[in-house]
Amino acid sequence: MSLTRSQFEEELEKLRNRILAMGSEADRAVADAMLALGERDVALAEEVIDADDRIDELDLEIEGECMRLIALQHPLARDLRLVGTGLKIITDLERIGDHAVDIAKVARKLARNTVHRSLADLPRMATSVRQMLKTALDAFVRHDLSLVEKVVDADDEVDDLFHEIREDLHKAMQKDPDVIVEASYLLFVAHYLERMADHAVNIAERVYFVETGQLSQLAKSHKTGS
Amino acid sequence: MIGLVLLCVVLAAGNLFLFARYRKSESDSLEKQRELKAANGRLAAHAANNNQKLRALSASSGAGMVILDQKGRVVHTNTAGERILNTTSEELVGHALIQATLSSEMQQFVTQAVAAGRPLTQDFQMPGSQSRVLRVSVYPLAVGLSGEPETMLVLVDVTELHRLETIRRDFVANVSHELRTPLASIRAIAETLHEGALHDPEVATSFLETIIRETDRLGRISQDLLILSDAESKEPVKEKFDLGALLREVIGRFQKHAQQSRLTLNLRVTPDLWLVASRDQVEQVLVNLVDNAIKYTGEGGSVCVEATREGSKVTISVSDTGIGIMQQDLPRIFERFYRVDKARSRESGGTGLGLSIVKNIIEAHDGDVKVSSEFNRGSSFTVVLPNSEIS
Repeated sequence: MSLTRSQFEEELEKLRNRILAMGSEADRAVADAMLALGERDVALAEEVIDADDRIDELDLEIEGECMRLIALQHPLARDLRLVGTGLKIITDLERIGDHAVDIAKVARKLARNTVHRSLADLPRMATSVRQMLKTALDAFVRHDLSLVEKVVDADDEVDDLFHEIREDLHKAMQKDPDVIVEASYLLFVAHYLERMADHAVNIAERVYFVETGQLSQLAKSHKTGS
Repeated sequence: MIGLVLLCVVLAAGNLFLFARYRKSESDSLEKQRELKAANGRLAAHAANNNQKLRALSASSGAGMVILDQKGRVVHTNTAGERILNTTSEELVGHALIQATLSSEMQQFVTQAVAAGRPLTQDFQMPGSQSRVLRVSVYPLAVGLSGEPETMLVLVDVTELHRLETIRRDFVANVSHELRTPLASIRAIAETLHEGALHDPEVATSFLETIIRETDRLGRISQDLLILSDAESKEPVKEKFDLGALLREVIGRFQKHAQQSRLTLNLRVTPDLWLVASRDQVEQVLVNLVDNAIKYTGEGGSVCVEATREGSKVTISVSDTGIGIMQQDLPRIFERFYRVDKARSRESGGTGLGLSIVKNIIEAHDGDVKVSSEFNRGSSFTVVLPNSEIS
């Protein structure tokens, strides 16, 4: 069934809102997973793991919605880029949700098996990553390329933080063998956060594509590796 | 013929009569239309006036107001709403609220309140790095600005309230922990001694040492509480003194401790640096900051104390290459009994009041204290004191 232009625009608006809702769920999963890790809160970790089903459902529902719009409305130009971008963004958000689950599992493991010590400033890294995700979604809503640039710049900072944290954890392990188990798990957490930042950059790159029509790898770390 | 003429006349008269009636009814109808139009105009003006008043009222409100239509799209927001949601009316109107909040939780809450048909209020942690908390009250309206059912949201930024509530809650928990832990330990030891351990000299000696350690800890806490209370309630008794000499004295006192911990303790002072302040209280500030710096810096590290004059201000900084402070803890380290690493700071003999004392003393002198730190890399505390009486 073909829709009028205003009906189609309403459908695109709904799609945009659902993607934002999924982004919000992914952000909350990251926040809760980090809280569970910091507070050694097993119940909260379990909640994050369970809540991932909702993110996965949203992923499938939005994918179906994008397919339906492509099949029935044959969007062109910017509209097509927006729907195509929707398909890509939800994959990135779904992966962020999965990494939040990975962190929640580490939180659950460490809560049961180790004494809590402060070994690395992971909350700082998580805060930066969440801000990147928010800025990327803001760029998507506001069609703002300056926000895309901000996300790309923040990725370099997160990469630097990742290297610092990795160094801190290596030093902690060398200094005190008692912390090896905990530090090795925290290395994974730092890695998951670093991957989340890369997904936020992917989202920003897609926003750049919607607005300019140009596909481009904007982040340095993507080009050079790290 | 006459009959025909008469018939024509009668018909014409009838037509004229009908025409006159028609004209009269038409003019009545036009009159009614005019009246209706005027009444409509009056009603529209009244409604517009009411809307204008409502908008003026909402514009002057400190609380954010957002009005949604039946499809959940924003139809109106006031200035406070734009500020709280960090957006503009142009960006928001016509779109769903989630585009400004990025909070699906809030979106679901609004839907829930509308379905329930009654006002609901809840606090929401907003996405992003600033840890903002918004209190959202949702009021379903049977008739809104457009004459159709609408939903009004009242938004209040309660971030500061939440912060204060967290401080209050943690303070009560921490103070009770700080006082109860040593008391519980002393009581348990006394009971064990009473039950016979007193006659085992080895155990008794160890227990007595613990009692001395715990009473010392309680003594330090009460001493620090007194210092804090004095700094809060009494005006500092100011005098003019040689800050360089005081710094050298304090550093000298810590040199042995620093050497034992294999640390370098350096001092750099602008020559002839005088200060008008309470000497005892400034000494207390320096002791607390240097003691902390040494306590939290590992072997091979360094602590550097610098004092300079900048215009009418004196700046003292204490920097170390120690364990540093996590960024999330930085805003809270000056709170009473707040401990970044609970086990470690208690083990090292801290009361959890040292930095609160520093802040209170410096503020009593109309000064300022700031901290910058990187976890695992070191911290730097900077105290700025006004020194207007010295030219």
